[in-house]
Amino acid sequence: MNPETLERLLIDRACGALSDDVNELLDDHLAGRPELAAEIDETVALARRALQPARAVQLPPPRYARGASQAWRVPVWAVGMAACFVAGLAASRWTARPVAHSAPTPAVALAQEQPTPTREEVVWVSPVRMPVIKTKL
Amino acid sequence: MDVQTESKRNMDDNAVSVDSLYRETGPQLLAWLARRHGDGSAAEDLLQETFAAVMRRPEAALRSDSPRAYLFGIARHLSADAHRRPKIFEPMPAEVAAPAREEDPKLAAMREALARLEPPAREILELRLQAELSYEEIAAALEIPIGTVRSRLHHAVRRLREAMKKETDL
Repeated sequence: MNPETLERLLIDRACGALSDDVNELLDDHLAGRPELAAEIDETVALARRALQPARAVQLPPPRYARGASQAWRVPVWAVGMAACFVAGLAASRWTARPVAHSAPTPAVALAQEQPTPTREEVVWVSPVRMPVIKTKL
Repeated sequence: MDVQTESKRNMDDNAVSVDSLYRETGPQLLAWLARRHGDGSAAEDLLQETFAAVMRRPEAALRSDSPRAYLFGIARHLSADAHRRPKIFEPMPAEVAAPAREEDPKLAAMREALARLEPPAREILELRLQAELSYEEIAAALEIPIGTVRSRLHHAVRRLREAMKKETDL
């Protein structure tokens, strides 16, 4: 077996990630050469010890709220009813909207078409004199 | 049984399952968090935050392939967020928080070698040897392929072996 492959298998075994069958095969392969595995086993065992917490951890009582998810959960039927209400409201507002006019009303259009009366055509009844509008300065 | 009663029963079942998950996985998770954040209240707070996050959507945790891996995944994200947050109080220096103990020189050398490992390799080693997650669970928790878990773990052990060899030769 390739030495790199053997090393990888030994590491997996030391980490407890090999199946029993593969373990047995590896034992057979290593028969008479236990020192190869011993070094890796020792390294992993030492690392395992070094990673353990200095003090035993005490699990505190749970503080998460049991009903946290329940408090905000709304029944499906209520969501359905709310959706229907909103849809109905939107529909009623849509149908009640005034019709928008893009073209001017006939009266406005007529007024726009009429020519501006001349000074002579205007009947002036005010006591104040009629202003003179100079078009050419 | 009407929909509301059934939904209520499901919620109760979920809460009971999360409670048992807390009892079974809580100690390992707390030890793992304590290693990252010290033995103080920060680790405990993160443990509670993790379970509070699970309680918001318990089905996701309980229906995942490995609820343990799911928990560690959440805890890891929360832990990373906590590291990014500005700290009001600086953590106590390591030698004050955990006074030097009389210990095996080999163990001390191993602690140093572990501290010198690259964070991704050390993280996988912690999850395997301390939290005792399987390779598959580590892959799920870290959201990486299982081949990457394997190769990083092999690399980490190889580095530790080399460091220990140097220590013995000295």
